[in-house]
Amino acid sequence: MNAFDIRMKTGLFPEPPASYRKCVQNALNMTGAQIKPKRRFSVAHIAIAAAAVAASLAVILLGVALRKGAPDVRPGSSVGTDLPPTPPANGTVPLASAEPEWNGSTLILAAKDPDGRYSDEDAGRFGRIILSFLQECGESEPDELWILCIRAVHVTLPANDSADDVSNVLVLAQSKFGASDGPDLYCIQDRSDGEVLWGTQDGAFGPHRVLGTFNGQQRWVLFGTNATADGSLGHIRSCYLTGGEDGTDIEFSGLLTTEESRRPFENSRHPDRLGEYYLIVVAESDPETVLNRSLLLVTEKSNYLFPIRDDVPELQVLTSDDGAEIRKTLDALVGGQGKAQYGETAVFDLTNVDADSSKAYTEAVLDWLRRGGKEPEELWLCAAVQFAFPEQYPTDEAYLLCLYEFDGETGPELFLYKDGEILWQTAGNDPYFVNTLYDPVKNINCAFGFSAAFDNGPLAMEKGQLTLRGADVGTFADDSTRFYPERPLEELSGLLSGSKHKDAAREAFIHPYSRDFEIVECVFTTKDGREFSAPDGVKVLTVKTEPVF
Amino acid sequence: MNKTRSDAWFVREIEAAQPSMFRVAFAILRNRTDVEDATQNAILKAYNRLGTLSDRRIFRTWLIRILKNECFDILRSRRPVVAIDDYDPGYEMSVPDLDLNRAFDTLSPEERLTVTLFYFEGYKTAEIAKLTDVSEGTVRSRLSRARASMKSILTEKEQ
Repeated sequence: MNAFDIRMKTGLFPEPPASYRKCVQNALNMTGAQIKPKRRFSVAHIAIAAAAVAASLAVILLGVALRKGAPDVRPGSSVGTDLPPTPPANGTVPLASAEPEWNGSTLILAAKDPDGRYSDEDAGRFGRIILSFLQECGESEPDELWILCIRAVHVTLPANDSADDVSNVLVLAQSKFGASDGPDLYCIQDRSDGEVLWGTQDGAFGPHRVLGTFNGQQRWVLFGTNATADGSLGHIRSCYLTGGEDGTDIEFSGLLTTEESRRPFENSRHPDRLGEYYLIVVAESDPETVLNRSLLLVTEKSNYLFPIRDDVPELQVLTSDDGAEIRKTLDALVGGQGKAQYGETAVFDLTNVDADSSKAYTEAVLDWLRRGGKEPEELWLCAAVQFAFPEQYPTDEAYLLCLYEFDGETGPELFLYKDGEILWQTAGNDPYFVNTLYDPVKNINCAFGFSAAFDNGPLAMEKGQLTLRGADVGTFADDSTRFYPERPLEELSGLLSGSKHKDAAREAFIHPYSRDFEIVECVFTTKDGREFSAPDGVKVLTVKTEPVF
Repeated sequence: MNKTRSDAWFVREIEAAQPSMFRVAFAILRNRTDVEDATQNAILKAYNRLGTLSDRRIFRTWLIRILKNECFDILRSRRPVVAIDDYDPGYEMSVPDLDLNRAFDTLSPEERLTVTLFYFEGYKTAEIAKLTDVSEGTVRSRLSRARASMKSILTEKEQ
């Protein structure tokens, strides 16, 4: 070993800092693997972090930490609520069929507060209702229940900022769920540069974690967020801003910076986090959209969809034996066209939805399937995409291929097509992928979805030929480094038809949108020149739709 | 293995892997909050997927792979450029060799990961290739490039 190597070995890394070790312990606690002292039955505490920002902005973060067995939070107890302590008998519970249980310890819910009427007592009331609901469902009680109430009206900017018209101001709230941490709030004027006009400062979660804005006419939005348990660290992973320029919902995920705020698709994630407690709250500018008034809670084994009704500002938990209400909601979510082809992979035709909302849709679909006793190994969802092309590319007669991967290991990949040629494509490990694509002004005329799973493995084909009735879209090639030329044709066919091999393509489907095309043939070519058609079992959805743009 | 024993085993393994996890995540992300996010995500994911691990003897490698993926996932979503002068890892810690760390910062995340796996985690190039989904030749070239780059920077500084 030479001197440099020795220097490398000794000089690069310190021991893990204490905060890192704590983070590991927290993660272990979250898994439930860590043995913790048994807690006594008692009402724990409702941790409330309330932040009143300026005169008329208030965001209340309430953490209700409820220790197991608290006598006065049980259904039927009288704890001063004017809402029923148990779900109404004739209501609807979006129940999972598969014995749901909390595997972690934190449950997060949010309630919109359109009139700014919520108080701490209200939040506590919600907590009791939710706990009753969970108990009614046979769920175990969460160790903690966090309720995030966002009052979404009236911003008064700091005096030194001259934004008189608050109607186009977007308030972004980033909440941490640590017991000692209040919400971070950011006020960003609705303009393209995403400038932060005002923001709270809170250490590591300072303004660089602001979620950003979107060039649109948003009103007020509630954010979906998840948080890690035990309060040590939490941040927004996914949220939906409603009311983009074209009225669509835009998903922001991950940790966005102001610089990134104009590239919302860059961070698109997929529903790979069923092990976490997810909350998606969508509000509010489009009252006609069911999704916009629903809470979707994803737990380890089940999802809950909580529709919120305008006429009842409080959080409502609808219950019914047959899940009709939720089914109706789901039908609305999928545009009434949810056609599942179920096997190892469920493929849904969601012609009338936006890809931006794919996460919420996918979760809803998963819930739907589960309630029917089906747990797909994978769920592929491809929806019409409203992407725009980079400036240098014309939008006419161009096509977009969306390659989604839902395994959580990698993000989506996109291919931009024109005349059979790839004009642009994402690169597997390119951290900057997709972002150059987004332009809220121009929309694509036609989109194709193509998916193939490869858990860090190969896209088991070199190129494919999509032959569409009336049009030959051309060929495409994937990164050759992902190609496994030694795989025999039979195996490739097997992979495509649904092999359980975890490290290879399992399923492929092609889903045309927007135009009256029909897939008549699907041929893949291996690197050594052999061709094969999509084998039996490959689920190819063929849809005919009217042009959507 | 029943759940209690399995959980205890998992906790032990994670605790033992803690220094490796820190090095790998910190090498890639160089930022406290991201490092901790990635670590937590990786632990949760590993726990939830433990049943899919066929051979627990490869747990450490499997865990590092998950962590690596989490790190790159975060990299994709974050601001790509951090000026070196402004760089603040967010940890209150003293690195053993500041100049070396600054040189290390100039490497690409892939190179930093490769260096870390090679020098600190004791993986061979073939194993690193498998772990990072690249060819062994790529691993060697990354190592070589990283060493050359760091040496060059350190030499310049010393002069």
